Amino acid sequence: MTPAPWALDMVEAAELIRRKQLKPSELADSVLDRWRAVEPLIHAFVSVDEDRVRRDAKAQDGRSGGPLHGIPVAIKDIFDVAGWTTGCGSKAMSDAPPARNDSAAVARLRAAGAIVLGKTTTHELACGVYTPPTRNPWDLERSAGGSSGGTGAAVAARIAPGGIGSDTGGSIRIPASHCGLVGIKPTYGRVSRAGAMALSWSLDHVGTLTRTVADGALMLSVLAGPDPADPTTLGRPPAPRAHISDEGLRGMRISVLSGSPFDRIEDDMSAALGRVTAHLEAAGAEVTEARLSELQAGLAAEFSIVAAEAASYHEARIAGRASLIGEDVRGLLETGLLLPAAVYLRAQKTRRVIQEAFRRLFTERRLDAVIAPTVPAKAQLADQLDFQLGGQSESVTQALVRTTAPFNLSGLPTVAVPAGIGVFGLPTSVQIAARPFGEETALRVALAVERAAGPVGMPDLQERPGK
Amino acid sequence: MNEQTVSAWARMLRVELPDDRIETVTAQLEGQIAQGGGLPADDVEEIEPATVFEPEWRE
Repeated sequence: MTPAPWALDMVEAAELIRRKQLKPSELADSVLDRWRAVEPLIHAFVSVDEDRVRRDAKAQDGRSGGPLHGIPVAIKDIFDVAGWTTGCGSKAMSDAPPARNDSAAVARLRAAGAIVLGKTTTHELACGVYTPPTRNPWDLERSAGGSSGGTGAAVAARIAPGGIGSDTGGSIRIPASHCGLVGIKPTYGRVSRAGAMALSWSLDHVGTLTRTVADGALMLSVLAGPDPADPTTLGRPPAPRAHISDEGLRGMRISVLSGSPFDRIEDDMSAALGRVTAHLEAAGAEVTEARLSELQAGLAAEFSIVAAEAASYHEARIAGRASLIGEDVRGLLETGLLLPAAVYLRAQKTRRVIQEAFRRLFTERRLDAVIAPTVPAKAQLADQLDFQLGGQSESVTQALVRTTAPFNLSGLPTVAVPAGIGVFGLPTSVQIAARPFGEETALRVALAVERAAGPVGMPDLQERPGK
Repeated sequence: MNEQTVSAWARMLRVELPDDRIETVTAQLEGQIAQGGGLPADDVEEIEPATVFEPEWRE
């Protein structure tokens, strides 16, 4: 039986449209039907302009276009979309005027033929791992993760085949892990941040959430490239190709990162990593274990940099509208305004040490990639504050960020990919990092993991009481 | 670090910090400073901070 258009992955839909076997307007109608049916359960969107989506799609019928011709995409509500308010999940931004122009990422998606389906929820100011009121399609009592939780939930629930998010300390990879998706945090400087609200200039990365590695590669190939409005993107190696090599892993050298901060993880995550490691070896990769003691200081460095840079970015907003900002984010911003410069600079020194530790590891062992659990635990309940990990209580935020932040601090390209469904019926995930601007290598390993682990399937949009 | 210090510090820096926020911010700031931004000062003495972050490696 032919799947409904809304159920198609991005590459499948793009290919059918290219062959004129599916009209962009048919895909848009189907996706809007799906949104109407599912959105009341997961609350993934802050706005969808049905008329505009239909009009844009109809205009593409019967025409040829770019690689994303007629594909609806979900946009995290920190990216400017011309004519829409960029709300950033905050009451402090609710009366902002509509954006005059598209952000660079949205402009690139549109230039490739994509249709903006709508804007998705974000944890307030892209600073958190819960994204209320959005719920996880795999278990409606659980969080979709954050801060790009709306895009994650929308893609997992088959409302959109893909979308964009931002990742400052795991904000793409955490929803990817919680929702059973592929999340790409590219190398720092690979994708323009222009027109996106900043959280932390030196740690922010723009990337993708999709259901397959091939879809992520396609989106990244469109998004990557130089942009004079974001100088960090200038003079970089050529953008990664849309099609990832399926040459297998023979001859590749991969290290599994162990020890702190990748210890104290749930059995499900540990078992998934073990299965993936066995698959990589069976596929011909030479797999070793590695520990980087420098990473133990990563979380403190991450939080200090984010606090100081976010406070600086939002300084005027804190002065006038602090009472409109939620307690968790407000505290971080106020603290950041008072943080001594010496602490911020020590964090940036620590970051340099971590970057050098990764360089040494890759160079001395001649590695192609490293692999680690994406996060230590399955998706938290929407109101859960702590995990019990390794016999210790740990805040959910700290636990989820400790395993993802090392790759924001190092700027390395990192892909989170599903590693099967765990015993609680929820997705597990591993993350693969490669050398700077080595996205194609990370995606090649991710593709092998995806093939070996098999599809995670479609979430049933139910609650799982007692799990 | 105490609430009086934080209150005075905020005034000096012209950071608007209402009285009902002082206790929370004092606790958070104390925690951040105790963490020291990451590695001990002795371990990063010769390191230049990554104030302009560059992801490419110097081989």
